[in-house]
Amino acid sequence: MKLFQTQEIGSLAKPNWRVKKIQNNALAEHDYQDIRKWSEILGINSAALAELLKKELTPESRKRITEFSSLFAIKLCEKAGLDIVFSGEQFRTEMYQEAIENINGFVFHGHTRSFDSKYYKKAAVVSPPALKKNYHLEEFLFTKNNASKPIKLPLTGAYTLADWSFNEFYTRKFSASSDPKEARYRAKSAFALDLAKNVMQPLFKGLIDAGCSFIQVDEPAAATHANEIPILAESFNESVKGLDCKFSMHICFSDYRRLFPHILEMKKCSQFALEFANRDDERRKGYASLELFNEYNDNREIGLGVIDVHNNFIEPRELVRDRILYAARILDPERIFVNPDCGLRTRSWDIAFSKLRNMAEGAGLARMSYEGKL
Amino acid sequence: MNVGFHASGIFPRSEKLIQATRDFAHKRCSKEDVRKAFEADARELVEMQRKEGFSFITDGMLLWDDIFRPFSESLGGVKAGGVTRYFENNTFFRQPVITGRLALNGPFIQKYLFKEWVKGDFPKIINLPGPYTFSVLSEDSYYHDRQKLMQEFSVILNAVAKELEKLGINYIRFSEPALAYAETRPGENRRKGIIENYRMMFDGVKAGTSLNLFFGDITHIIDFIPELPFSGLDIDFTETSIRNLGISLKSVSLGCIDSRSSFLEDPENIARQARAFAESVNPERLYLTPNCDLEFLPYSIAAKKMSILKEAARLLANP
Repeated sequence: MKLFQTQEIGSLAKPNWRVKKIQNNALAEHDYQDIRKWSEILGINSAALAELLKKELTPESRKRITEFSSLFAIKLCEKAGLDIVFSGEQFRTEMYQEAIENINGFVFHGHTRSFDSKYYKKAAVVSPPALKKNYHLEEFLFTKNNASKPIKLPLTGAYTLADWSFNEFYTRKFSASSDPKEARYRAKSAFALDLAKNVMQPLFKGLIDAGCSFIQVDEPAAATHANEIPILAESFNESVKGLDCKFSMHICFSDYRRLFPHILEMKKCSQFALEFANRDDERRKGYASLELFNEYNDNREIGLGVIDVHNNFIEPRELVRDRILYAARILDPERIFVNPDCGLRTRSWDIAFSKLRNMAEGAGLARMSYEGKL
Repeated sequence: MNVGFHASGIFPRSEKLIQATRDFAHKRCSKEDVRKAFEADARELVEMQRKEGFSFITDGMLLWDDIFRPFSESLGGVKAGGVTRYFENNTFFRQPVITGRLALNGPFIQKYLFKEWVKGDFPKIINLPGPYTFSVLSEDSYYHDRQKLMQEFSVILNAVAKELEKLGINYIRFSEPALAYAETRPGENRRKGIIENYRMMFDGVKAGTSLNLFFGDITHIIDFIPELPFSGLDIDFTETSIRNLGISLKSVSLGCIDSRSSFLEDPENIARQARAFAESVNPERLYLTPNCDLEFLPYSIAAKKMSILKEAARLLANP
C-alpha cells in the first residue's frame, strides 16, 4: 500500500463567481478572469460556464453553476496531487445547515458565534427527527462521475448535529426529572440516537447503495462534553449498524484524551482524521497526543492534520514532511494518512491550492525519506 | 431583600450586525458601515435594558471577540493564538499565548467600549476575565508558573478596573468559569494564592465587584467562597444544587436563565426557585441573571430570555 496517502477533509471556499451569481449579484471582470485562470490551471473547458453566468439565473442554471464549482473543486484536489479527493462540499450551504434543512423536526432560531466574526445558523429540535431526502446523494453521484481518483465522502455525524442544535423537544420530554444534569444527559442521548436511527442509517444506506465505499463522519463536537463520549460512540455504532463501507471519523480542535476509552467501542470506524497542525510548534508539540493511540493499543488508521486551516501561511513541504516523519516515529507508518486539520473553506482557492500542493509534495518527501530514497 | 435583574458579559450580535461583519469581510461594505452597525446594536441593547428597568446596563461587549481578546491584543508579552474551544461550547476563543512578561502599554480598555454607553447616565456593568481562568486557558511559554502568571495578570486587572472606574463603570464582574468547571477547579493548595491575587486585584478599587462563576457546580468549592474578597457572588443555577449551598451571602446574582439553551424558562418557576434559594441563603440583595454570557444564543432568543428575566424578577419581588 502507498505510504502517507493524502486526502482532503472536505470543504473548500465557494468561488466568488458562484456566490455572486447565486445571490443574483452582477459579476465583475475579475470574476471572469478568475474563472479563466482556474480553468487553465485545472484543465477545464469553462466556455459553457461563462455563458451560464451571463444569463438570468434559473433553477437549472443554478444547478449547473453548482456542478461547475464542484468540478473545479474536484480538479483542484486532483491537480494538487491528492490521492483521495472530494468536491469541496460545493453542493452544501455548510456542514450543519445543509443537513438540518433536510431533516424534519427542526426550526432555525438564528445565528450564533463560532469564533471572531464567524457564525453558524443554529436550529432547535422540536419534534422527533426524520430524514426528508438523501441530501448527499446528488453530490456523491456527481463527484463519482467526475473524479479520476478515489473518493471519500464527508458528512456531519449524529452527535455533532445534536450537540450543535438546541434540544427543545427532548428537554421537554425529560423535564420532569428531579436531577437537571441527568435529565440533560438523557435528553441528549435520546436526541443523538434518534438522529442515528432515523437520519444517519437511511442516509448512509442510500449512499452505499449508490456505490459509496468511503464515508468520513465529521464529528467536530465529539469531545466537547467529557461525560458524553459514550453518546458519541453509541450514536456512531447505531448509524453504521449492518452497513458495509469504510468509515472514518474527523474530529478537530478538541482534547483527544477525552475520547478514550469509549471510542475503542466504535469498531466499524477504521480511521480517525484529526487536527494537529493548529497546536504544533518547532518541537512537534502538536503531535504528542498521537501517543494516546499507543497507550490504548488502538491500531486504527490516523488521518494526520499537517495543514493549519486558519491562516494563510503556506506550510513548506519540508515542514509537512517533518510532521509526518515525527508521527511515523510514534505510529506504524502504514496507518498514517495525511490531510489538512479541517476543511479549507475559510481560505481562498489560491491559498488552499498552495497548501494542498505542498501537503502532497511533503508527503512525497516523507515517503521517499522513509523508503530511504532521500 | 432587595431584588434586581441584569444581564452582563458578551451579548449576541443581531442578524443585521452579523450580516454587516460578513459584508465587510467580503469587501461589500466599508469599515465605517460596520462601525455604524455595531453602534446601532449597542444603542438598541442599551435602550432595551433601560426601558425594561434592568438594574445595571451593559453595552453587550459587542466589540470583544472573546473575553481575553482586548488583553491579548493590547498587552505586552501576550498574543492571540490558535482557535480553542471555550469549555464545553461550540464557541471558540483565541488562546492567549504568553511569550514574555505581561506589560501594560498604557490604557487600552476604552477602545473596546461604546462611547455613548460610557457617557450614559445609568449604572453600568462589565465583565473582565478572572486571573485564574486566564492562567488556566492561556498557553504559558514564559512564566511556567501559574501563580506568578496570575499575580502579574492581577496587577494588570487592577489598573484596568481603576480605568473602568474612572470611566464611570459601577460594577465589574470577574468571569472565573475555570473555578467552577469540574476539570479545571483548583485544588486546596492553589486556593491561598488565588485569594492573595484577588486582594491585589482589588487594591484601591471602589466599584462593585462580583465573582462570576459558571459552567460548574459551585458546591464543590463552597468552603473557599466566604474567604473571597468580592462584594457579590454570581452562581450558575443551571449547574448548582441549592440544597447543598449552606452559606449566607450578602449579594448574589442567581444565574437562572440558561444561556446555552433555547428552551424558554417559565418565569413563575424561576421566581419559585429563587424564593427557595433566598430562604436558604438569606441575601440582602438578589439579582436574577442569565447563568453566563448570552453570546451562546441567537439574538432573538437572548432578547426573549431577557424579558423572562424581567418577569421572573417582578414575580419574585411581588409574590
